[in-house]
Amino acid sequence: MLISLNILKKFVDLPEELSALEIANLLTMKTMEVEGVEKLGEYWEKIVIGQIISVENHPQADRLRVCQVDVGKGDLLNIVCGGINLSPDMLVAVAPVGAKVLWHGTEEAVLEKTKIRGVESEGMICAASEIALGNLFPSGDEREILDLTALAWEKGKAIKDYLSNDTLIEVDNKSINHRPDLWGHYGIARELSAILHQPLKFYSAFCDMELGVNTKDEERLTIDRNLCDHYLAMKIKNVSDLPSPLWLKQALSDLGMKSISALVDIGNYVMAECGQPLHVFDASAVENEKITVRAATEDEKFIGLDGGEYILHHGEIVIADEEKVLALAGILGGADSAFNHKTKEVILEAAHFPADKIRKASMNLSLRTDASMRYEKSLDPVNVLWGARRFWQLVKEIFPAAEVEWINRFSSYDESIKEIKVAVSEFARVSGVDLSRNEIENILTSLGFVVAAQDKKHKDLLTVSVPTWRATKDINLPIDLVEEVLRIYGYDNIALRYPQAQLNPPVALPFLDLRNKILDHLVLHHNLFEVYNYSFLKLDSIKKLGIDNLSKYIYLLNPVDKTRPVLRDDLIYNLLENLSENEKHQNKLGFFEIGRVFRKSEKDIYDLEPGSTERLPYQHQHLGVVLADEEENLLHRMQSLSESLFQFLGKNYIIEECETAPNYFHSSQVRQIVAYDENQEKIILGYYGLLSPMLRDSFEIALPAAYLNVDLDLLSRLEKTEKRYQAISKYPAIELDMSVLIARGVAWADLCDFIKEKTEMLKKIDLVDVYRTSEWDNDDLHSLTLRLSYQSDIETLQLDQVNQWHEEIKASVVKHFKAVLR
Amino acid sequence: MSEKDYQSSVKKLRKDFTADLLAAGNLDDLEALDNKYLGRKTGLLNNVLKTLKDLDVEQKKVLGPLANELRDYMEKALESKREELKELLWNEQSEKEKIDLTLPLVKDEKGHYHPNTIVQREIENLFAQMGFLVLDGPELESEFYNFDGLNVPATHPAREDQDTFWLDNGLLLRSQTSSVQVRAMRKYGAPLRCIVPGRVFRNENVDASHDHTFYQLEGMMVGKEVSVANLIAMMKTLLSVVFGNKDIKVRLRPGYFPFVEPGFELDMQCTLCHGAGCPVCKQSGWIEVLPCGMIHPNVLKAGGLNSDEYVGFAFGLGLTRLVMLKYNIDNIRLLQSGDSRFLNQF
Repeated sequence: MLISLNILKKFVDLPEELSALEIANLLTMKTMEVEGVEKLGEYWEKIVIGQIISVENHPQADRLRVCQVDVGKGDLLNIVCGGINLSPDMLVAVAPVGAKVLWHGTEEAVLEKTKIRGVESEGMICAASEIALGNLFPSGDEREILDLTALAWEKGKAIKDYLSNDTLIEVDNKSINHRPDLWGHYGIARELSAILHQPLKFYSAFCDMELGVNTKDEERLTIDRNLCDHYLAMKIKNVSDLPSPLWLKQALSDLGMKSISALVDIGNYVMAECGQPLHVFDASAVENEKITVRAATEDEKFIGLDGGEYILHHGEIVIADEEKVLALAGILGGADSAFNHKTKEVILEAAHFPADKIRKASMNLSLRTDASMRYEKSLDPVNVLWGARRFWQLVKEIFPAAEVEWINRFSSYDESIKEIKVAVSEFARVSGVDLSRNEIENILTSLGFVVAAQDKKHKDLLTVSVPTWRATKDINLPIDLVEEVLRIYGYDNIALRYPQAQLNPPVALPFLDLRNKILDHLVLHHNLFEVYNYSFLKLDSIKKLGIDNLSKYIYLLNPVDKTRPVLRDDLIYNLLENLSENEKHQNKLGFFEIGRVFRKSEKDIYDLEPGSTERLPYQHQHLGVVLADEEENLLHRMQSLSESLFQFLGKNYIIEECETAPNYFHSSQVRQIVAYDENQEKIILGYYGLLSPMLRDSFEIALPAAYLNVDLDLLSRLEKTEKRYQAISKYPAIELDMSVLIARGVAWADLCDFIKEKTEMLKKIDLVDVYRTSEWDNDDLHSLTLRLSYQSDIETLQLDQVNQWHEEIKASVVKHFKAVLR
Repeated sequence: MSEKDYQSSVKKLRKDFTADLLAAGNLDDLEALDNKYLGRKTGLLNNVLKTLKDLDVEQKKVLGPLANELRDYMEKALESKREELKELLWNEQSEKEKIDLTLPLVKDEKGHYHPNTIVQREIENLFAQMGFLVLDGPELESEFYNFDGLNVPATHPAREDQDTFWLDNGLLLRSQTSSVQVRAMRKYGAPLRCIVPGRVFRNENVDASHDHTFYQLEGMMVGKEVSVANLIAMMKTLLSVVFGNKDIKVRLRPGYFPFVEPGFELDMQCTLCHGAGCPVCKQSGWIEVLPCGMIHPNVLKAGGLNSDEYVGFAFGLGLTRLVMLKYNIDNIRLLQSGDSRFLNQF
């Protein structure tokens, strides 16, 4: 929103030595966010008023003319110009050599002495848009140059002497959403008067205070009090479609608004001044001069003065007469009842509508106007009266013959004054600064609050009356008053101080510990990359996984990306995309992700509301690890990773075959990790395995890949096991090897279990080598070399004895497993 | 043998020795030299000493020391030459064994933390040192905890479709980590201090600096005596640690959020131009980093606390934004891209 410093200066004196930038900074630090400051006149610096003496055709160009222009300096300037409305005696805006202009209204350039089609040109005769005056002097044709003859400005003078010298401040609208009083200049002037300790002029000084706006006459009005709680209609006669005086055109142009006609412009100007939206109807268009405020009927049609046709479905508030809709309340006037060039009598509307209803209507119709933006903020209903008074004051000045024929007003808003009690000590408690009662009172008073005399019985208490313009939105509680005082006092004046706090016994945070350990172990020990993926899934990815039943997923009503409308129930989908993408520049990949997955079918521990028995859907934290590599023993590598991780975490686990593993695994190359909770219930913690070749195909992953998945919420609830020290034997171990040719179907674990049972002295069995060759007849065999480590805790073993045991073991292995020694 | 003969043979020995020493080129030569002259049984010096036997006591007294003097000289010279040759040998060896350390023979395949994780853990550590709990809450949340409990009115624009992701059963994806505030107060009561780092979701148009999925770090401190002055101190500490600048400049100005009152925006001096003005800070010299404020009494109430007894501050750090600022990342989408060429830089 643009704010004019000149308009502010009407209401509050701004110290000379304070620059616009400093004022902007003060506002940012105490009231609202200022985005920029612009001094107008950048394009008027060197422009002078000139009079055209003669116009000749250009010898070499049909569309160009050569003009002799008098700029009051004696010698005439020779200027080539393409304007279509050039004529002798015309007063024009001349840009001499060295002046900055906007070519065709957009491209900035500095003029140089030049030849145009062979004829020398010593400057430029400007179109309005070329010197940023397009708003002030709108023209139909781009080739029309600015004709100043009617204004009778003095030839030779600088144009800037006649134009605005204003500075504009641009405010970020988002920072004043909660301050309905700041959507007009007067409210901002009030802020500045409090910030700068400068007196604020009463708005009444600018208004006709004799106007009978407080009337109780309402026979011409039929108002639905649920839709409007303050409505004022005022008929004014003896007006017409006149252009606005220059000062008004200038003011509107500075604020980025177009000048339409004096009466309409006054309405817009008053809205900019005091924040009250106003609307002017052509009185002859209002049937019987009676106005109704009601809800729109189903499919009621309305043509706005923007030319748009609107069909109303949602009971939007409309201003109507007995026959038709006159306006969309608070948003847009109608085309049929709009002020036009034939209008001689008008009806002014100044009203107050409920913020949420205007907001809804504005959104339903995708229609945002200056008026609707203000109504949405919850305006002060009292402002209706100020808007009307100020409007009439300006109309009187511009239309001396104007008369008020009648005023009708409906009012049902609550006129009681809001009162808030706040303790003086509360200010210090919240801020950490000792503020005196006096300081607090002074600041509140400067903002328009009224502080009652000190109560002898409750000396610490302040009884504060809230002014109506702050009572509709953000001032409700004692703490709101604390904020008012502190921000004017200046947050920068609050010295920092470290809090004093009570030491609490530490709270166990099992998931946090787990997460940190997993991160460190996987990154530092296994050299994996941590990735973050979106929580949304592509339907495409689900299809690639061969899943048809989409009903098990949780859907979003309004996904940002329609190709990703569901929440992930597993980390795998995105991790597979990661593999596929990164394969392009790497042939050895290891990624992991820790994140939440969402499942419709189960519940989690979180409640929906305090005291509610309903629970939110399952959204456990999961760990997902993918490895992709050409190497042969990928699955063993994944198993080793899983085991080392679990051991590092100190959690007990068991690896077993699974009955039903997720279908993305290679069915024979998957295992499940389980544990038992304190009730001896079996919990499945996760799975690991090779990904099926078909899956890799659909995701275009060339490398063999393995996936590990662990439910971290479940894992964090399991107890940790601590290590226990085992006494180191004093006696040396004897290691003996054995090589057997054995069926591949015999599991290593089974072989070891079998051997271990043979003697207690066997402390360790290591695998030294696995050997296969195609030279053997039978492809089902392989040769294992085992190293058996014999050791006693009580004595040194003798080699003879150990050899004997060794031979016995070899013999029984041969017999039991039908193996052959090598 | 006469005195004169003795003296001259000592002199000659000295001369021969010196010449031989000069000629000795390596340690082996030196060893041989040692044996030749100082060898116990057959050394040349020994031979000369033997001739001493034939002299009388008076002569022995004069000539004996000569030989000893020569012995000392020889031993010292040999030692010194030995040291010299050893050093020469070391240097030669060093030259020969010189290795090109720029040759990347050892493949170091390191793993990598995600940059968000790095910054998040740094901040978690900072706060844990000050006794703050590190908490988390659900990402799929209820309207109560994400809006109502945070004093966000039913008509607030933030509840619109264009900002928040909704499910058809009225649940939503949390749009800020503040949703954990009320949960935390109900679970742990007061006094309480905690931070809540986590993933949040906003239904926004995606561009280089906006994504629909990003990270925030919420923090709150509730107690009997907690003030704005305390908030400023804590926020300054937080920013100075993250940006490694003890003298970081901050400013506090009015901001408005339904769940805090007073509400503030905390700006920090632009890290790029140091306050002079540049495109990063839109010429203002300040970067908006921390919305914060004193917890609204209605929120304390929703948390089961009496706002007359307890007061507190809360802040919502844009963690993703901070990570991008710290590492100079220019496109937010890289953070969720899973691109190893991005991840391997951290």
